Amino acid sequence: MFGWCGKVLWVHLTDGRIEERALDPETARDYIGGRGLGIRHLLDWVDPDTDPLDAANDLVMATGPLTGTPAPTGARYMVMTKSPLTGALTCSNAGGHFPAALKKAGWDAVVFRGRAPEPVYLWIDGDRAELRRAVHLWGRNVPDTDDALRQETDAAAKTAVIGPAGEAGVRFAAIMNDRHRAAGRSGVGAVMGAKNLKAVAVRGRGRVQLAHAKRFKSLVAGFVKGFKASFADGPVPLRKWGTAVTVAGTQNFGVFPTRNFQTGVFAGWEKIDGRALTEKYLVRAKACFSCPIACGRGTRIPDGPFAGQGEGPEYETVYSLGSDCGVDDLAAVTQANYICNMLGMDTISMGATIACAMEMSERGIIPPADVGLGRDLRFGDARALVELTAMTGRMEGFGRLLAEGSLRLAEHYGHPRYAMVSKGQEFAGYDPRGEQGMGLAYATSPIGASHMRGDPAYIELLGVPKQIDPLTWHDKPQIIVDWQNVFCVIDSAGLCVFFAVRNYVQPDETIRPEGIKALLNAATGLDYSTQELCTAGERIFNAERLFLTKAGFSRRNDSLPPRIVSEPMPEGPARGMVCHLDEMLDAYYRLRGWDADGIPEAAGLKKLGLA
Amino acid sequence: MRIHVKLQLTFEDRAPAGRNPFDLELTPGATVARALEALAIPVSTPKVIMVNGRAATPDRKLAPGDELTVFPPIEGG
Ligand code: SF4
Repeated sequence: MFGWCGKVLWVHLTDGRIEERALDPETARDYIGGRGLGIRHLLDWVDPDTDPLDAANDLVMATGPLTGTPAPTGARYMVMTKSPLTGALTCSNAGGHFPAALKKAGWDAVVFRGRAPEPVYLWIDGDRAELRRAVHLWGRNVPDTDDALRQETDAAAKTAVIGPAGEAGVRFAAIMNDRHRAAGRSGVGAVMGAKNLKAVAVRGRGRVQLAHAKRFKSLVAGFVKGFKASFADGPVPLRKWGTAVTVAGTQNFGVFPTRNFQTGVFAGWEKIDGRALTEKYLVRAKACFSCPIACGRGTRIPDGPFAGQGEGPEYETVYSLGSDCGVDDLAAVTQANYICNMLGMDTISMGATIACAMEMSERGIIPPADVGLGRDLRFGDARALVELTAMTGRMEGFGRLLAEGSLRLAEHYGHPRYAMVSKGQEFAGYDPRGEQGMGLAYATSPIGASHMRGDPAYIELLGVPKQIDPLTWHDKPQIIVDWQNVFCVIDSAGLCVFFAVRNYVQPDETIRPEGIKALLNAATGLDYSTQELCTAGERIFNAERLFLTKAGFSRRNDSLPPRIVSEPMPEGPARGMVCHLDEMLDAYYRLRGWDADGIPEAAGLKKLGLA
Repeated sequence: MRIHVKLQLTFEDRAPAGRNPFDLELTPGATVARALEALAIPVSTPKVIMVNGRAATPDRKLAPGDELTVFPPIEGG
């Protein structure tokens, strides 16, 4: 095969068996890779009712046919499993260099089944793969584990590891690769921990075989040239200021979530945005494999109570650990981010869960003695932010409750309405009252609230590939359907959304993936039409929905908290708005070919080869 | 008529030195396109335009006291 390696590594953790299985060419064509291969595996091999932390839940790490190729941002992989945070699916995506190394080692995907009797790690050196004892690594943080692994295996190995949070079962524990890159959301790290799998280290020495190498090369040159030309008269915002530059867009439109979504404008926004980060703490911009953007942030806090060094924060973190907690101290936000990276946790769910605790504390629902800081927990408490983050990653004191995520925390105190979640997963950094399409995207995403499974913020707030009105809702169902489908293609091909939405799709709301088609055909030698790719995206999205349906999910789970659908935004540009979810859902289900309860109809599934 | 203008990020250098936000004098009934022209921002340069907190297009007619915000497209968050 070309583009694909044609091989999947199956690791049976319970008895230590490792086997190589061929990638079925038809499955590859229909499901592309990454996210598509992941859901196909889960549908075929995992009972949808399985407890996510049970040995019977599989964890799939899957690359795409463009991962590890010179295609701009061919850097990504996807981690798919059943989520211990939501009971729904995970689609946790990361870049860095580990995914490309996996591909260069000759593997499209690795499937982990069962549970190891004691801590182990997987060492992949090209064709050869072995499980090794990891008892001595258990309990170590992310950078220490990365150091130890490269010492024990190969100095040039790339690693994906869990920290103490994943070992202890923090429900939003991440898998960290290349130390600072996170397959962050939905608790994939806790699934690894439950499997007694500490890490994967890989050395890839080969190259991805391309069907039409010359054509591929000239396509790549064309995309790089187009990218450079579009920034000929100014800097690339993401490279210059990092993703935290997005604060400008969300604050302008009044959707920058503040104090647990009590409002959408944050007075201290300029203290924590991309410009502040660049001016105060940026050491250097960092790029994932084959990426011309380099949005990663190598940062350093030189002094003060939050001194430290590492990577981040991203926009989502600036929202979750910053404005959502009412904290405008960028050093504290950055330090809390470092702790999440060290201990292996999702910064979004961490911050949003602390924000939920802060609101319940201010309302007198959580007694100060429960939190145990020796003072009231209030919004804006930078020191509490950092302390609670560390306590969560180490499962100490009140951190044990925070480690359950905001919904379980709020339910514990009898007030689930204060959890800003969909399907039990914390919101990303966009308030759906001022961004209607995002509300529909959160509610219908297969992983619970997420901005990355069909991200309308681009077209509603950020002018990519064009700008539309974020406050209208009648036009959004069709846009969300199309965007969700094409994001399935981006996620499955192994590309980064940040580059794709501006360079690989048509510059309008139809988001047709012309550029991805050209690259995929040159890489694989297949002859996808644009429509076939969109259909593949639709297939993947429906396959995920099918899995959720079998696990008992339906319309009642496609929901948003009462605050978002019935409490008008109190101030700012989106003042007076609520999210019109129900109206959008009816139209959305019709467009999807799902019934009024959100269950896919048999005819549609059959057309997609899913029934 | 006078409008208020805020230029952000890559457009900051089009603002009068040391002032941003700032006021801009336009003939009554001028459009956003006219304001952009006065600011030497080509209509073809990709950008997000807002008037009074709502997304707007270049053909939008401006009224006295309107607040015009311009920032570049941002590829991610
Ligand atoms: S745009 Fe950022 S996240 Fe995406 S591949 Fe490039 S450096 Fe990585």
